[in-house]
Amino acid sequence: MLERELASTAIEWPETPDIAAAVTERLAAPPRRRWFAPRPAWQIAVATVALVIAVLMAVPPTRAAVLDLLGLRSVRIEHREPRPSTFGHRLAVGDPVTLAQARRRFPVKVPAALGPPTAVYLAENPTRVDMVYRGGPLVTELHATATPVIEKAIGSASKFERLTVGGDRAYFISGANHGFAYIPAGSAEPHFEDQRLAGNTLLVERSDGILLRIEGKLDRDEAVRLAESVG
Amino acid sequence: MVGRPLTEQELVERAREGDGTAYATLVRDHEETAFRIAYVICGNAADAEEAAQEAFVKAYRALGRFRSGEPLRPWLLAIVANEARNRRRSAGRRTALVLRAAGEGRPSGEAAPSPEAALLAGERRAVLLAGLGRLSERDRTVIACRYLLELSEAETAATLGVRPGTVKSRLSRALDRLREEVGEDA
Repeated sequence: MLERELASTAIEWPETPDIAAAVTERLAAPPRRRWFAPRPAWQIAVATVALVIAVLMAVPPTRAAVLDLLGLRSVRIEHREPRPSTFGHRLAVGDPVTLAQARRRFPVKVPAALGPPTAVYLAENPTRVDMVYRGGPLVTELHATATPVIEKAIGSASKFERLTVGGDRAYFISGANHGFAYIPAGSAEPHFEDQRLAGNTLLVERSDGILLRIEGKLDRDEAVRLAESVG
Repeated sequence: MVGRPLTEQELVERAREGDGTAYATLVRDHEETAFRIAYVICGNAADAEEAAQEAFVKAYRALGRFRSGEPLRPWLLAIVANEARNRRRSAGRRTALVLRAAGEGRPSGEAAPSPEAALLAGERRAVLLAGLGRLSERDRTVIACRYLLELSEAETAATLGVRPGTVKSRLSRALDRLREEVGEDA
């Protein structure tokens, strides 16, 4: 009886709001990132295990036990003073050689204003010599031309100046970071490289076929002076 | 394909692939029942609206866990009921549910009642609904699902997250308590 009465009663329900529209709008909006946003259980599990291991590893006696547990007993963790890296190692240069060794492969011209380099590196294909000066510029020499590809390696944020150095065509690139581009002698393929030192670059296309590149924290006049001292 | 409305299963597949329009269609199909269940549980329209909205957002994100081929409505309503209950709990309010009968009872095969009979019937309904509103959330929800929203026993079970057998016994106890509320003995 009661059941029948209830079933035959039409209810005056409150008006149903437009939930579909609200839901669509919420789903279209980018999700709000909250640091306490619910994360999948596996993420929490992984994070918890990682934290526990990190805490245990911080203490030497438990570290040994953890390494045992993980089957990594043969791993030894030693604390040592870091060794100084070989000077010039970070630069994309060739093998370290003496100036005399480099001269057997390439007619190296040393900038007289700088004197003998701290280190010399020799690379092949194409043959090039990099002379490194501690606290000073990087001087590169190779048989190549920079015209016209160098302009493609320069971003619009850099300043690009055309000069003559000792009667040879030269470019001075300053300002923003810039790349280096050249065409090796006897080749049609341009080579593109990233900039190696933060600083300005002077390129001189010497009449003897050597492309001289001086890169470092130098202004144009200093760079030109160095280039003019190259024998 | 032209002109044929998409089946629920097709809409679900599309919604899973990120089709918002397909999901909006599904929400529209079920928002009324969802809102009413939330209203019965929460006891007010504002909370019911928020609960239903939140539930549909959660359901969208959980669509991957919905088993294809099963009816969508009970699955959705279970999420809605859960959300509504959470909201009711956190709100801490325990207001009685207010339900009003619409002007007329549902049309039946019987002849139109006399004005006196209609008045009596109207009073009787008001008494019943007031009694229902005073019941616990658990009791009134099971009654509302079965008799006011006309969900099947299986759908009611899914919505409330209980076994179908439990619906029977819970419903029978809820009706007993409603009889007590309105001054009838079981």
